[in-house]
Amino acid sequence: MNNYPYTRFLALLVLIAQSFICTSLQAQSNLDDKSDAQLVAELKKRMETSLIEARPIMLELVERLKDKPERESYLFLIGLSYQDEFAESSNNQSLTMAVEYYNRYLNDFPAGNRVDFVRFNLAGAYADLQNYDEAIKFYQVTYRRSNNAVYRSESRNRMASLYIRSGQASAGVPLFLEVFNAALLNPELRAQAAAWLIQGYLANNQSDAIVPYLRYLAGRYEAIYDPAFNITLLKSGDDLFEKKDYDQAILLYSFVKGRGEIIRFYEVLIAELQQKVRYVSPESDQFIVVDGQLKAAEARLAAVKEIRAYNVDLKWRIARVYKETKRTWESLWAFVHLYEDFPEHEHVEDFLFTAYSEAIEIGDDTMAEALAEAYMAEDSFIKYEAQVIPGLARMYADDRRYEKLMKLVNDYMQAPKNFSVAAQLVNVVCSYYMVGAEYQNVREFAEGTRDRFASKEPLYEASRYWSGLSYLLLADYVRASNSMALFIDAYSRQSVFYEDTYYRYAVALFGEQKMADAEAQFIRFVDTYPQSNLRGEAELYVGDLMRSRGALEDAASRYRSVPQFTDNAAFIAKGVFALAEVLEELGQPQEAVDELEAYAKKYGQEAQLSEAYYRIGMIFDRLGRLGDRFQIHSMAIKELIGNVSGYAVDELIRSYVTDHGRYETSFADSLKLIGRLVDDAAFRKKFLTDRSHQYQFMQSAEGIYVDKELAYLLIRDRAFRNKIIETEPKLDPETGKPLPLNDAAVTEAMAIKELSELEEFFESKAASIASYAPKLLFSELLSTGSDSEELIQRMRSHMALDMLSAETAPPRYDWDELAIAPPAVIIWEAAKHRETRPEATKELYQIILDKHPYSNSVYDALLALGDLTFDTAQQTGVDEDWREALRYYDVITERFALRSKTATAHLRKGRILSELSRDEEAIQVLGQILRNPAWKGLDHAKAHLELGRAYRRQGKLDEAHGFFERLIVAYGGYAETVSWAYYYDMLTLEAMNETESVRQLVEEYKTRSAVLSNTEAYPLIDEKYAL
Amino acid sequence: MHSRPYNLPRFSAALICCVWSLCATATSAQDLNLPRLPQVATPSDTFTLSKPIAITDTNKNTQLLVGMENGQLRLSFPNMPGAEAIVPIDGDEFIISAQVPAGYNRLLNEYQLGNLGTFITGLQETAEPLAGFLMIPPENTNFHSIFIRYYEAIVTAGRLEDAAKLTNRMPWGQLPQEYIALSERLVYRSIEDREFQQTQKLLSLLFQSLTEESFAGIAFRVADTLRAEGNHELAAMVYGSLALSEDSILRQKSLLWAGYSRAVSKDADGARNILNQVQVLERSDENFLTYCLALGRLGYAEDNISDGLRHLSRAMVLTAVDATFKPELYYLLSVGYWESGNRIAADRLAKEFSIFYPENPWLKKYQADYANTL
Repeated sequence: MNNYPYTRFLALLVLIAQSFICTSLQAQSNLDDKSDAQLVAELKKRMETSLIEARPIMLELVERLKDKPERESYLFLIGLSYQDEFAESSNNQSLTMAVEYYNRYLNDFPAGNRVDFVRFNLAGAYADLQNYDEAIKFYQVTYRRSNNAVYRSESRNRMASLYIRSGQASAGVPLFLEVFNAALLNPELRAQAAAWLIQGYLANNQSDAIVPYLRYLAGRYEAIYDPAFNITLLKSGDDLFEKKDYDQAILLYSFVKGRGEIIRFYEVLIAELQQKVRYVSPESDQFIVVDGQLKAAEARLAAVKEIRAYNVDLKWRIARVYKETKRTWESLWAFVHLYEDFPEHEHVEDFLFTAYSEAIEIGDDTMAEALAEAYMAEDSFIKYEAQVIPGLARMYADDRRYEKLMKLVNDYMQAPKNFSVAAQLVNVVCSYYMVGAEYQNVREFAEGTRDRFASKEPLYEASRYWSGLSYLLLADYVRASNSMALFIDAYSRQSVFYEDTYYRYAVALFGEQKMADAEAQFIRFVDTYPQSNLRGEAELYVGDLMRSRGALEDAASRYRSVPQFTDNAAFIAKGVFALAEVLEELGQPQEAVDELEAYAKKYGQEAQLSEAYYRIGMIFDRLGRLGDRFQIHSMAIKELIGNVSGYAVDELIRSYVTDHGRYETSFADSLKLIGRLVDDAAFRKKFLTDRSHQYQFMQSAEGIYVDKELAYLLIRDRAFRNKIIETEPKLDPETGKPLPLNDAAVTEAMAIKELSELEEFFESKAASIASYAPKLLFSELLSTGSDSEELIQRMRSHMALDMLSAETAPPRYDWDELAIAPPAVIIWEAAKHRETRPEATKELYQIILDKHPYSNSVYDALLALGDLTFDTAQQTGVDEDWREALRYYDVITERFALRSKTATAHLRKGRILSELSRDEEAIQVLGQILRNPAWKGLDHAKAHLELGRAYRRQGKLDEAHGFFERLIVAYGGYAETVSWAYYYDMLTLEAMNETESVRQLVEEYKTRSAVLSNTEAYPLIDEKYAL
Repeated sequence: MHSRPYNLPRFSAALICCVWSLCATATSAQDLNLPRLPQVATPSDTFTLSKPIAITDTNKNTQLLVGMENGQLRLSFPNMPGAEAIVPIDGDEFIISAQVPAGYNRLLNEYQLGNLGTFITGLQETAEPLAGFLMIPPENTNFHSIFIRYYEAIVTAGRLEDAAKLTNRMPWGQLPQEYIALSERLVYRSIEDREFQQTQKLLSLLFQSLTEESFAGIAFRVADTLRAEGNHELAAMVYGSLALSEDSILRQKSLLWAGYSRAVSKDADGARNILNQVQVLERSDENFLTYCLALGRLGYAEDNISDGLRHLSRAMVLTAVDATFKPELYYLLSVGYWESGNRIAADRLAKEFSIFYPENPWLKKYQADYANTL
């Protein structure tokens, strides 16, 4: 790089040299023939054009002037001429001759006038001959001995650069340090010296030593733009990078100038130097320097233009250093810029993907998304599709951007190139639906991909998993267990879905009420996956199953283990509650209370406190410790009533009000009955001895609420009855007078004494709850909760007080207030408006859906909304109204399938779908009811009826008849439904031309008319078939 | 209001839409009430010297320079007492020379040797009266060659007060570039000595006297230094003054820095208000770097470290090591990594920072604030 010809700039010295030529020489046309004067004249003439042309004359003169001092200038000029010749021809032979003449000069004239000049040029010639040691030697002498500052500094600088050029940078360090120390007031030279030092230390593997010099590399100094220097930095940086010395590597990279920068720098520098050289006298020392700089700059520019652009490599290295050193943000941008700036680079896809990965690492979703979309926009980018596409899908899903998600997924699914990617997309989409509890959509999507891509693994596997799960969540247990059993059979534990499916399969069996199978599968699951996150929940199920078959101790043990295997607060609570129930069943009520109290204490605010207190109270209740029950419940209510999202307190309030009222009435009626038994001997006798009277009394308003314990004593407990039924004195057959009673006889006094004790007992019971009267409690809470901050307390108190009243209470709160009310209060208040303002009431229910999505009241709200819209649709018959109602029932049947105690929503949904002529879907929904054993009974009966009707509408009369017939046979107890079944079956059979069957059916109906004559269908059948 | 996280010109326009809104410049820079450099008195072009200067004219005649009147020279003649002539300063063939003091060459030698005290003392009487006449073009007088060395000497020697006095008398609007470079050195010197009042006066004078371009050429670098020394208020005045520029690029840059300064003072709303005056910039825009810096600093002011890091890291990878604000950027980015919990990156960056800028106040501040183990 530094290899610019030293000789060329010395040609200018011809003019200087001319002045040394001896003027006494004679001009001659033939050199031998010419006199010295002629030769000199000829020499002058030739030198005006070329020193090379003048050389023969000089050689002749040197020959003639043997041993004479005049020879000195000619030896020098001959050396120069050979250097000029080298400049033109690049022939090293010329340089060798120059070296020879310069050496002769130094030998013959060691103190000659031009000795500095000669040494300087000799060093240059050696440098051009790449004899760097000799070159350095002569520069060294010049640098140390010359009296001329220009020679000294130029020799020093050239010597320094030769150390670099000759690969001896390490050896040059002492000299570089000298230059650096001498350059304190010369920033340009200081930068140069710093650059040399850096190269020297790097060559010596002393990368730490460069640090103090790096700061001098700022500014527009040629040294910093020297291509060789920059390549040294780059290569050294690479070496350090490979050694994972990233800190030092980036130091060097930071100072490397790009090829374009260097070219621009030299273009400007050359222009400046060209201008400068014009204004410097060619005879001045300054000219030598400037011209040398110009030639060097030109050489460097030419050289750097030959270099392949390394900017991208450099930037890539820097970006990798950022990445390796966890400077993630800088890494991100560095790769973004690489992607933007080098779109044609062979690794551009890697650049973009790395940037994307860094954005993911940082958690910058917006950036990651932009980069992923950029990646997707490049048709040729496929290498990282497997990461980018699912990643992008997840981002859309996380932000709930459904349309974008589905566009991406559907586009890919049209012709998936990679079934692993496709499987991930299925997971993302199904997870998306799961978040919104859109289980029907999970089912449709997963079934779709399952059926389209059978055996295309792992896409098929994912689709099978999700479809199976959707069946379970939709309470379609039969399908779920079938599907999951097949999955378990088809895959092994290698499958990521296996563990979950293995567990869900047990849940499905449980749903099917195949208890033994379910228990066995849960136990297999627990044994196979003892560390599973699902274990806590599994233990709960096992406990329930054991409990259901009476293995209470085993069940208790399972429930106790739940907290060991889960952190899920809901499961822990369920476990404790179930444990308490089992302990109670085992006759250990106090232990049950202890467990519940320990739970409340351990989990504090994290616990389901309302529920726990409720259960403790109810255990007391069952023990007959009513005072204790209402005490703990009232305390819990007082503590929890103000928490708007403590939904369970509403249930506590409801049971408190209802039960207290029930007990109050019961005790009052019981005491009244006992009072009559005490006071009214005739009544006592009749009540205790006349079973018919007794029955009628207990069914009357006076008796119906009488305490069951009392009723038992008075009606069934023989021992007690024996103590209160007075012994009838036997009459003396002779006198007709009563005979004296024996010792075992019961007298009126004895009976009254017993009854009085009973009266006291019930009085004490009534007294035990008297101080917990709801009116008292909630009036107090209402008054203390009058501050606006305690609005929630006030609302719940009002609700409780309203419940106490037989009258419908007036609306208490306006819409704005209800907007912040607990959901149970909203439901309560909404009911007051439902008849009169159905549309406005919908807003209230909507508040629950929006603000309290996790409360139990959501189900009530959805049902209410469904019912309201169903009523509207029934009135209008407009499809859109049916569809609106359907939307609510869709949500209920999807989200609450596992929780619904009845099939009302499914039935209504089936009905709506029929109204919308979507019978296939109706059949599907109604079929689901039949597959849920929990809904056996009336719901199944209704489902049969609706299924028959749906098939009938479809013209599938055989199927329709089948459903009606099964209903008639199996569900005879449900008169209303069965009556409709007869009606529709008759119509169906008639349409099937089964006249005899119709006749038989009518006859059969007649035999049951005593039960069926009050049903809605009866008049229709009577009218058509003349019963 | 969303912040504009980044621009990726090759990416979809949708991204651009979701980010920093392109508020129209409903509020002008004038209405933002940005602090500005206060007005100061500028030298008059009409004055009388307390002691006339002996000069020689084009014809080598000795005359007395009495003062100036409306930018023209007032000369009196030793042989014609009471007579005065008003001479334009840039007439053809007009040459005017001050008489150098005895031993001038010796003084110059002292100057070369760095004996500035001797030089200043020796030249003071000759050089100082020339300050008011520097509007004479250099080719028409030797005033400049005498004065500029003197001025450089007092600036270099750190005679802040003397330099400031002279500076106040110099016609900055008409001085060559060399003087402006010296004025910048003087300003730095005043910052170094923490004579911020002096710094403010000098900046005000230069702002009023120099062309906007010349002033901007030094002002942003000076403001970087002011921030490094903790004087954000004065830096904000510089930006506020330049924010009134007619040059849209300069105005934009000033607003960005003004927003940056406001963010430093923890007034996030104020900063956003200012930055809303600037449109969304792309990487190819001249002020993009400053834009990234300002948005990054705003992120910090809004306690959104992630947003701050996003912009500052981009500025970092786009900034050369010799940029005057680079140390501050190192500081901010190190802080961001630290605060975001990425201690590895923070330490790496801080190590690099200490190598590149071992003496920088920002490094010392980082070391003090974050007690790292550098």
